[in-house]
Amino acid sequence: MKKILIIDDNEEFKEFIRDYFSSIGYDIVLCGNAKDGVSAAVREKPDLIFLDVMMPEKTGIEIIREFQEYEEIKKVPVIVLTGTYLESNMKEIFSIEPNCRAFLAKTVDISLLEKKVFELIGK
Amino acid sequence: MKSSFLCKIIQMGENKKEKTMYRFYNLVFLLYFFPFLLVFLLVEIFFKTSFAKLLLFSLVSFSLLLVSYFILRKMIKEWFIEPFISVYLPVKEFLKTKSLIKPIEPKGPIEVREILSDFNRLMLELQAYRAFRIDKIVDENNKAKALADIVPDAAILADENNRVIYFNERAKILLNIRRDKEQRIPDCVGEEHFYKVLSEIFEAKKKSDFFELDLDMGDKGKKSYLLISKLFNISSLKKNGIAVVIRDITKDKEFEAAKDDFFHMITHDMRAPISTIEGYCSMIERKIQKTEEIEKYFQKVFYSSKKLKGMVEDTLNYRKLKEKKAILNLAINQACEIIEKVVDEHMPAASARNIKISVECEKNTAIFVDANLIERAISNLIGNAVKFTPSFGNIWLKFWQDDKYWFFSVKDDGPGITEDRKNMVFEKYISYDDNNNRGFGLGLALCKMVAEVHKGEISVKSNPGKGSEFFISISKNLSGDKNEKNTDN
Repeated sequence: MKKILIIDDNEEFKEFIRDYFSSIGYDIVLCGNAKDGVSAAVREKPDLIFLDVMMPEKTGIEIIREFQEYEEIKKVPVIVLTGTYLESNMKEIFSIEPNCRAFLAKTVDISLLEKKVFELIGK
Repeated sequence: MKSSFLCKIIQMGENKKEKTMYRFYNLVFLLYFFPFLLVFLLVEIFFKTSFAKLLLFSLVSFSLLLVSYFILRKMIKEWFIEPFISVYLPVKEFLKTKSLIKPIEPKGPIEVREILSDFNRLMLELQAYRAFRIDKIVDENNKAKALADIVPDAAILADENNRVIYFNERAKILLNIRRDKEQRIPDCVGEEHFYKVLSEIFEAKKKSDFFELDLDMGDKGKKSYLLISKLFNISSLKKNGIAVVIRDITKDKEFEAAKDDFFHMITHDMRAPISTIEGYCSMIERKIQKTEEIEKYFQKVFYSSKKLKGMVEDTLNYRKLKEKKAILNLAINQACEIIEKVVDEHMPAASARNIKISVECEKNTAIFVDANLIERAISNLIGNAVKFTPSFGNIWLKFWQDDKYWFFSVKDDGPGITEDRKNMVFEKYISYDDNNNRGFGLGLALCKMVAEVHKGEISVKSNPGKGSEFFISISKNLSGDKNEKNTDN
């Protein structure tokens, strides 16, 4: 089973993603903050990472760059999610990072998210 | 008066000196008789008549002449000249001062007396009428002025040469109109911001026009004004003058902004819960064994949640688009695919009421648009059509193009829209349901915004009882914005 790591401080959203994607056959790992996120990524070696843009201690951009410092995880595709407004520059900023494969709103159709995940890592 | 010969004879003058002079003239005139008498006597002597008879005859004829002279003079004076003068002088005075000091005493023969009393009546009526008219005019003027000064909008009237004819109290304060300067617009306007704006308006001499002004009044803060200008004409002007009204709409704009903020705030927080509902419903759908009935239930759940999501998205997008904070996510899309996707969404609701949706679309036509926005716009139109079309009705979707635009149209054979509603149907926060109730409706306002942001237009052709057809045009010539900013995906 493909493994997905979710790094997000919003409990509801995390649970929702876990419920949904596990019901369609993915293995889900949850993480609530930036620090744990990086270590979880290194430890679990997921096939895909969902990353929230706004986190309390570190911003999403910092985290995503930190991923690139680790050999094991710098190639892992990251889907960046935002619950608030999509700032005009944010998408550009994230798109520059090589491991960022998508920049989406959390409220996007869940089927779209599913499709994206399938595109990136298959079933 | 002085020069009249008749006046000299009847000894009518303007003062005692003149009267005495005329008396003297009269005397001189009389004395002229004596030489004639002498000549007459001499003639009689030569023709040998008795001297006594001659004397008597001449004395009598002379006396008769004298008496008749005096009588004639008195008659003319009393019966003609004096009445005439007594009419003439007051009339002259009346015409000069426009008022009758005292009525003329009717005297003289009865015809003259009648004329004089009629004349008195005429003059008195004329005087009263004049006074009444002037009072009335002053009254009307004061009434208008009282109203104009209480109105909170500034109002100015200027003639064809931009000279100020009138301004109300509010205009005086708002524009700081200076009396020392020549009363021409914009020179007399002391307030610098308005000076600039009014210069432009009066330069352009536009016909009836109105527009909004946002001014930074420095220490007075930011204010918004609505300026309405219109040409007008009155009899004293040779060419059209301009009337300008300025209204402070700062509060109105603040209120509207607050309304928008309110809706935005509410809808923004709705997004996550809606997504969650949708998501878990999807999961349930996958996990359970579906009967036809359950399938139908799920369809309805998804349709409603999608509709709700759409309303939320529209609200948020509307604001972003309006504030020009959104840069379009333009990309190449297939027109027919967009239409099919939207039609599919609405198909269940349409079929439930046996409404037929037909699509006419040029296949394989690529359009350069923000797909999300166009979908929302078409979805709103189809949604309305489905809502208002009765069972077993029809909806037609068309897509076509010309060299400058791409066109979408949604046509239905529903009840149609009345003329007065047609003008308002694209306004924000207005929507009507079957029972003529107004509802919160941003749908068409958003469609309008979407069309405009694609440099196109939205319009409707409709007649009561004959259905409606909504048209959206999209410009093919959108200056490609390289920046991307998502409208809510």
